Amino acid sequence: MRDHTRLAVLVPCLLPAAMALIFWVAPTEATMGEVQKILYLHVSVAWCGLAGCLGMGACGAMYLARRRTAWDHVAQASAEIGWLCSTLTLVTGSLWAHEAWGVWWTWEPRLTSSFVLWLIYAGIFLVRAGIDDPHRRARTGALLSVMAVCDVPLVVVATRWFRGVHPVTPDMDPRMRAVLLATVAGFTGFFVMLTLLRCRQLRAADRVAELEADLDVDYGFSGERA
Amino acid sequence: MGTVIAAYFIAWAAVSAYVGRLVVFSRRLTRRMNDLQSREHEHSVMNAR
Repeated sequence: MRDHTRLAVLVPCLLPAAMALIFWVAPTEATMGEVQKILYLHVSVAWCGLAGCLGMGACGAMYLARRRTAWDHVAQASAEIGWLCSTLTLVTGSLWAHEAWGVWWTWEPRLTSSFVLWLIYAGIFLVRAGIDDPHRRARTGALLSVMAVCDVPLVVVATRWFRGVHPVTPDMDPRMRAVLLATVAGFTGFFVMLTLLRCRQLRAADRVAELEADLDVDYGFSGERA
Repeated sequence: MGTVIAAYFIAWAAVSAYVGRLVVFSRRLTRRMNDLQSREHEHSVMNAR
């Protein structure tokens, strides 16, 4: 408890630190100018969106193997954070595309596979919301989570295997690369902390649901409605 | 620069909304948990009698 609280206070400080690096330390890119600073945010949330999907798939597989609710909680928390990051990836990417290519959206391989990932997250939430029985919900969610992982390699290799307009890995100034790595680390730490907090909350919601059942009252608390 | 500010503002707003949702739910959960635990205590006292 105390460790979590300390983490919850310390980790959010990483984000202002990352912002300071982006706006004061990273040099301005010659061709795109200030707009290039979107890259630090875009790459960080894109990485967290993919990591969320991998985490969700791994925890789904663990749930299927062990049938422990704790794995379902981690899978659900990862899915929520992953979906949030995936949404931000599409939005920031769209803003970038408008400045760089003159269009808000184009159906090129990297963008399309990222959009498919966003749809997969949304689909998993919809399916889970439609199942009342917690064990069936967890089992179905776990199966879908494991299948969802198939899209991650597609997103990663989309720029190499298929011809598209999305940059692959552009050459960068060492200071830019250092700021990018620091930003990715900061965002990853922040989202891992959010995932841990959400897991704790889901566990507490389950405990409340158990107490409700024992005492025969209904506040409508369950992990899924949280 | 407007586009950069828009991107960072949208990200800040989305993350804040999610964190806000967690905080609100956490408060509700704590309140209900306390309520249920006091009810559970009352039940056990009544059963003991």
